[in-house]
Amino acid sequence: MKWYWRYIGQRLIGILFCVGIFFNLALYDIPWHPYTFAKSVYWEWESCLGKETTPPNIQQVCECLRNAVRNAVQSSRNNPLGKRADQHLINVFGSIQVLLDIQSVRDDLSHWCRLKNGYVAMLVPRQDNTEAADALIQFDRWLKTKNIPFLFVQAPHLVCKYAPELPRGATCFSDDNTNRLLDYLREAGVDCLDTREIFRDCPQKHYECFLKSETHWQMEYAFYAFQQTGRHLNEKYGFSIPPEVLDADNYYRVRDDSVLYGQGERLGETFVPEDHKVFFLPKFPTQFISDQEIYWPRKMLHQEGSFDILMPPRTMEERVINQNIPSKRVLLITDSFGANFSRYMPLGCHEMVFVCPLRYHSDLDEKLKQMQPDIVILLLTARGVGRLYTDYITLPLETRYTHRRLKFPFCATLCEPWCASSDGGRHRKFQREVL
Amino acid sequence: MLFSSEIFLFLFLPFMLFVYYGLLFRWRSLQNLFLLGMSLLFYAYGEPWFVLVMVTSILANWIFGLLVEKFRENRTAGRGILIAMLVVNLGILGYFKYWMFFLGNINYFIGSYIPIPQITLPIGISFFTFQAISYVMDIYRGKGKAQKNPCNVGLYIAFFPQLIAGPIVRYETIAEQIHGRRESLDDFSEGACRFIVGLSKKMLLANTMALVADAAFEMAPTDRCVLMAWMGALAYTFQIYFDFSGYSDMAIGLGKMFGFHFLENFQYPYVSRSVSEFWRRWHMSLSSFFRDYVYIPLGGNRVNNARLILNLFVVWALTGLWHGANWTFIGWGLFYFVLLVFEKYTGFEKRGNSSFLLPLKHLYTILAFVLGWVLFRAENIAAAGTYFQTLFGLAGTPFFNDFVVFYFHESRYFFAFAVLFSMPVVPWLEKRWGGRACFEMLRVLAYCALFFVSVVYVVQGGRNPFIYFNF
Repeated sequence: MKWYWRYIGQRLIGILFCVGIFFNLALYDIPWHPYTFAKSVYWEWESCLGKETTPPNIQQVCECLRNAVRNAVQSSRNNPLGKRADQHLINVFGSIQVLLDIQSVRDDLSHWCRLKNGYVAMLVPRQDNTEAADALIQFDRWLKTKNIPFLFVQAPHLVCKYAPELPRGATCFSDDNTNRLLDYLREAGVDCLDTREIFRDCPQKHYECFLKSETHWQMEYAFYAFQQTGRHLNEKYGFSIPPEVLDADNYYRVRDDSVLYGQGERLGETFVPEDHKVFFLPKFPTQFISDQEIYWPRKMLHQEGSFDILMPPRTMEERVINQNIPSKRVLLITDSFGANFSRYMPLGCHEMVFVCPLRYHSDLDEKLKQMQPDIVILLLTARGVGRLYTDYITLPLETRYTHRRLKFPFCATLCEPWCASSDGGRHRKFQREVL
Repeated sequence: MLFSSEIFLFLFLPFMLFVYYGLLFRWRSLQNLFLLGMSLLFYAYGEPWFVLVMVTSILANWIFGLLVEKFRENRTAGRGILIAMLVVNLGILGYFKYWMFFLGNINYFIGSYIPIPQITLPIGISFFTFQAISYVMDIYRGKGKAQKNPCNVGLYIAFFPQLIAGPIVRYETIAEQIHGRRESLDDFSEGACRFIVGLSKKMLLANTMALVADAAFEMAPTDRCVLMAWMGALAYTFQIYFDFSGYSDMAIGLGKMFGFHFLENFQYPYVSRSVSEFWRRWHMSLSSFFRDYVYIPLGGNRVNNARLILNLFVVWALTGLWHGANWTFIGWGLFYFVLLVFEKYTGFEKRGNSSFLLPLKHLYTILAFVLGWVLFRAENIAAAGTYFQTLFGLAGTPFFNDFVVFYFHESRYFFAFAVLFSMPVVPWLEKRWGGRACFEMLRVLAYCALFFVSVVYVVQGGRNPFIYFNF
């Protein structure tokens, strides 16, 4: 009799185990739509084999098939129910971390830590970006042969240089890596701007201008970076950006509350603080023409209108004409950090072409011949420079600026305010407050 | 594919259970064929190309098994087939795992410039190669009959629960179960419980300890203080135990779910009071393999002292080498050789069993395996040397710094649980209160909570590689 309860308990565990795993099986599309799953495996396989430039051998075919199945399986859980269930589980994870007073979470890709002020920052390891910096110097020299000036704008990291706010014992080498990169570039004669100096005297403002639950800066910070860049372009490169364009008083500050970005989805809503976004919208009249190649859904988009048309940055290449400014062309090469900055840069020039190097697949050399820019601006963090190097600059010099294949998705989290909230209830409220 | 991944837990496993029990319940041959097919798919998910290596190994050993059974009575022929089998199996293992290491050392020691090919190591090759050897050896020794159907040999060698990281299942223990096993709800439930325990060990304890261990070992030597070095060593000690024993628990649990009974692989090794006892409790399938297939054929301990020491040397060098193609692993194996010889010749186990000396013996054993794991974890001998210097305060680094505060703060609860559950607490509780209604219901709740929390960690997608995959 004594062990009767043992058998009951054990069998109950077995049954509940089965219920648990079969319930999760039901969250995948595969049991309900096996034909759709088979089709997506086929598409993935086609897209994988399509990237091969030479006929694949059997080993590559096996690898492609394996990757196709993997991708199709992983995406079959991306239905609304599956995503909601996952987000609830991740929220439980965040709650456990908070309950145990754990400040950091680490995975294969990155190490995240909650700062003393509640922000969640990525802890960057010590990196040697010497090779990447050498590639940038070569790029500068290549542009000089074409009489095109080059400006490197250093984007800031969330952990402030002047007030790190790290828990005791946590280390982040973002500033160290940045300092070494900038010193190296300046020594080689590359013109550099350091946006970390904008809030040198007010580190608190630095944090306010960053997203709490993401690595990226707010549009407000990007606007101040645009201010700094604009003044530099006026002083050094003969630009004539009107003073009212660079004056913050000529802009509305619009605030959106209760937004949850990338890290909220990865670490849970209890671990990651609620976010807000602040936009700077010009009070003065603007008139733009924009042609962009959007990567998702894939299409060309032509728009004409005011500053509003510049908002959705889901693009790999965009050409913007500012009809209020008669001269100066800027080629802006940047990653997700530049998505906000690229909204303001067209205010200071006649034509701006924005290119994301991780997704750019045309001929940069041809682009420069066609466009004849007055300046090429590269805006990245030190980590972004390292990544650009490994993903792009390691191509042979003769092909480096001519052709590039498409790679993994661009960060799309910055386009939220202008898009209707539809997935997983991330936008709990959608309040807009003009400040 | 990992056991602790969403794809395995929520797709592969339920699909397997549904087909095995729902569709193929009455047909044992079809069930075996299905298990084999899914096991190969399981392997192909991670290593599509190396499935061919495994299939080659299966077919070759099937043929060797048939031949060795046919020529068992003929001593010369039988031995010849055994030697051929060993050459083929160890040749495959040697090429994929040791060839680069071998060439690298040749170049280093004699100053040559032999080009070293880049050879990818198939996951789990050490495990399935040893199982293949066990199959033919056990047939030769009359401990099992050769399988006429190569699919059954394939099922024994490639069965997915123990394919990637053991336990090394001996053919004699599994031969009858291929056709003669009986599935039951009790076995299934017991398997589920075991699987949940293994999953929790891996996701909650091993992965967390990994963060501290990796931080300590990857830290610049100048940043690593004495206390951080010890914390990293202890963290790795717990990481490797919970990682490996967790995987073994999951493998044993999965086997039970399909009616197979594998032998235990771990028996709370960290409560040992001597290194000899430690090796009777740690990775028992490997140590018994080397005992039965290497040590005893060499003469075991029924030889003179010099020969005995040589036998132990060979066994422990091979044990170290089996773990990886690096001098650190060989050093680790020989480290235990020295300690085991010391214990054997001093009668260490039998002496000093008073209440005063037993804790000291335990402390000595703890120190032995912690230092051993440092050598095991280090990238090379030089890094291990630097780490040891830091451990004993000889590297000129301070005793304490802020890194200790940060990493201890992040992992303090997990360290406490790791210490607790590395001791036989659960068996003690079951012995004391097992069978009582409230205890069993609490047990159900505890298992459900563990499973739920483990799934939370799986979905969140923390760091997840199994250490013993590298072997």
